[in-house]
Amino acid sequence: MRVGPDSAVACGWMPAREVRMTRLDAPAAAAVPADDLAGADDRALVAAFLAGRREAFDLIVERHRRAVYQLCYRFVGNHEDASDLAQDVFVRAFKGLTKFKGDSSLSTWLYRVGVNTCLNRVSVKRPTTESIDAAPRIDDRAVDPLDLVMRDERAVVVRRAIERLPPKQRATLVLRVYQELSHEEIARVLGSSVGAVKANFFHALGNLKRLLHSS
Amino acid sequence: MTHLTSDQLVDAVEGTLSADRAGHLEQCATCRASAESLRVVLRDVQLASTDPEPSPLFWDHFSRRVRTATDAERVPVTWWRSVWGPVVAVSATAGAIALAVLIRQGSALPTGVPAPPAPTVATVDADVSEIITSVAGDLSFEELKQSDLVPSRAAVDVAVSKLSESQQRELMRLVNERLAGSE
Repeated sequence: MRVGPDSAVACGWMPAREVRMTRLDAPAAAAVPADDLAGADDRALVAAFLAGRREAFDLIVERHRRAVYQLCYRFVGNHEDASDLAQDVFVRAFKGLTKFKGDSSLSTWLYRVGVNTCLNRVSVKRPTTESIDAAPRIDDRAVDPLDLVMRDERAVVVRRAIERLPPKQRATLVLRVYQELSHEEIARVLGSSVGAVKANFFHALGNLKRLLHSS
Repeated sequence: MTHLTSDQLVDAVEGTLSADRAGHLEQCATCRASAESLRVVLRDVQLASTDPEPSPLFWDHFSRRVRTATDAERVPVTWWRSVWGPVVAVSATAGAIALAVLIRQGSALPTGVPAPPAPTVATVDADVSEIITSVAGDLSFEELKQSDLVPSRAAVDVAVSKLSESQQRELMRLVNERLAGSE
């Protein structure tokens, strides 16, 4: 599976300011000194890359790799597949950056690439089901161990139920709850309307309720 | 009053419901139950969140993997590079070919015979020829190709089609001569 987001809600990985691109100024970017690239914003990095500066893409990877990896992980649920998917997302981004028009932020665009990559993967490969033992432990030493075990078991059941949701509902749920994107941002990532995003979110929760009851 | 729509139920769960609809929610047991059941599922989803955080060593390894995977790809360039690069290359190559043909043809003409009307490229003077030679003269075909200095087949066809009949014959003779020399 694979990745991508951005939102009005607090989002730790996002750059401090939303980068809006109306036009990429490639000739100017080509002239940015190498030392200045590290401090350049996403827009400048994209422009520099499109002007032929390969190292600008390395900085884009460095800046967005965690968010992309986490998105992938939340789709596939294991490290091996998540890292493969995240790599795939960046390879696709490398090839497709010329199509990035700057209408949205780079992070939103990467989320779009990521979600598409993840959904494609999900459609051809059943997600690996994790064992109870593989469930991450919550570091809460004040909690009764028995409660912890039960919580872990419940979490595994919920994640399995999420894996069974239709692709768009699953993507919406992951982007909203785990990646903390706003409905508007999810709409941009998925190429749909805010109304459709809210409807998907509503149906995702409704379907989860049904799946959890049946399990 | 009508019950909350699905959008409004989502807003209610997220605490962004408008004041007038919030008033309905307070008074409507059905809507309150619907919102509460969504809230319970949402809490389950939140608690099921994994917080994937690989080892710090993973990130450098990951960047290297991406770098290796993308090294095999060509760096995409913007339109102004992709358009002007070939245009300049085609123009320079076509100019060089035409110039060579004209020079050869000029030397082959019998004295007293007026030269044919010079094509536009004939205005290219010896200085330009020198520049082209100094830039590309020492490069192999493969090097020219890697530098995007080799025009496309279609561009060459267009350039050749603009030569006069005698120029084309001369070009053919030069090509044959070169091919024979390489055998």
